[in-house]
Amino acid sequence: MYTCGPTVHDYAHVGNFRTFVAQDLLRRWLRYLGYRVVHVMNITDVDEKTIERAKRKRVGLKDITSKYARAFFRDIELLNIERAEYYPFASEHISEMATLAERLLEKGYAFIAESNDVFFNVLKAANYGRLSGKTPKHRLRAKTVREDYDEAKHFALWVACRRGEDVCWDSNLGKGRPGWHVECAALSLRYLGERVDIASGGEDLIFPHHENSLALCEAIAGEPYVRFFVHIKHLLWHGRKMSKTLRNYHTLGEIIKKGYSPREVRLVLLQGHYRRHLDFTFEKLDRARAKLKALDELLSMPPERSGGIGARYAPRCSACGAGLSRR
Amino acid sequence: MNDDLDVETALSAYWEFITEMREARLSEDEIKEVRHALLDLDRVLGLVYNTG
Repeated sequence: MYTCGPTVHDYAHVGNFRTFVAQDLLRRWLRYLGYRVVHVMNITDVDEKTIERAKRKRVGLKDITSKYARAFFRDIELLNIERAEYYPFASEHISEMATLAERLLEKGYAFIAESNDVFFNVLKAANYGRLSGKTPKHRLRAKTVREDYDEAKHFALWVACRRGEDVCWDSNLGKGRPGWHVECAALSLRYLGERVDIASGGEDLIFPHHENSLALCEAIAGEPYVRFFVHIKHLLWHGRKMSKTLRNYHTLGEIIKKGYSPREVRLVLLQGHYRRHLDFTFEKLDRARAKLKALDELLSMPPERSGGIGARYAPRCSACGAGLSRR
Repeated sequence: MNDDLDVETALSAYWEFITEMREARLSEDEIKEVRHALLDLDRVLGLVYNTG
């Protein structure tokens, strides 16, 4: 299972953790059913956001990324999220990413622009758009398109180092750094090989990220590269997506400071189907507290020897188990 | 993904079960079994842990 991990440029918020808790539930469920799970979650510690944050703070990239990576790992521990088998940091696999870009050049899927950036040519990917429904025509209309590189049809695999930039690595493609989509593609191929059973992330990753990284993997490994995609719907705050952009987010640390426990947060995040939006409220945290109290009391309840209820109560919550089986 | 993990149904049944068990007068053996059942399910839900 490959899951897109955090970009460590800031603290993750509970909207991000909805995705990670849902993935944890999936992982636990698969293990419960007896599957052996090899779970890879990348840590994006090289991209525009991390570089920009480091510049603004006037510190090195590593100073920023290691601080927020530590915070992320602390938070997932507090939320009782099982550890993945691998957490590859993008910055530790730059050569594999450059090599992937080179291979795509050799295979005719990519080209070098005048800027020395290396681009993937979307038009060469026969099934591009299969996941998101967004074909190259959609890309032409997309807001994110930068017209200078005709990027509507292409996306960057390797970004050449510009004057004054210091976050660059040497490679056969020249000095530069990998594009975001190539990070996940290279790490997925490196750790899970040429087929992946499950790839997962928040719903906002369907396009362009998963569409693009899928195109890269399939250009190398053939189709289909991923058997199942699991995209988790957003967590909402007062009916709107909880996000940094909208500044309507809460970090786990902030919620703990208000007197709630990470367990209560975990329970709220579990209480909704992953393909439906979930509203986050403090009232839900209060209700979660009451439920967990009941659970804790039952687990520590002293026996009442005098009044056993006998066979009327089966010692198993069969309905709970049924809910966890395949429909 | 065609097969859904229906956690809502599971959680709803889980709390119903907990409420019922709390109200019941259980023998020591029954309590042990209930605990065992809850902890078994908790392998999936991950709700029984100490956050310090």
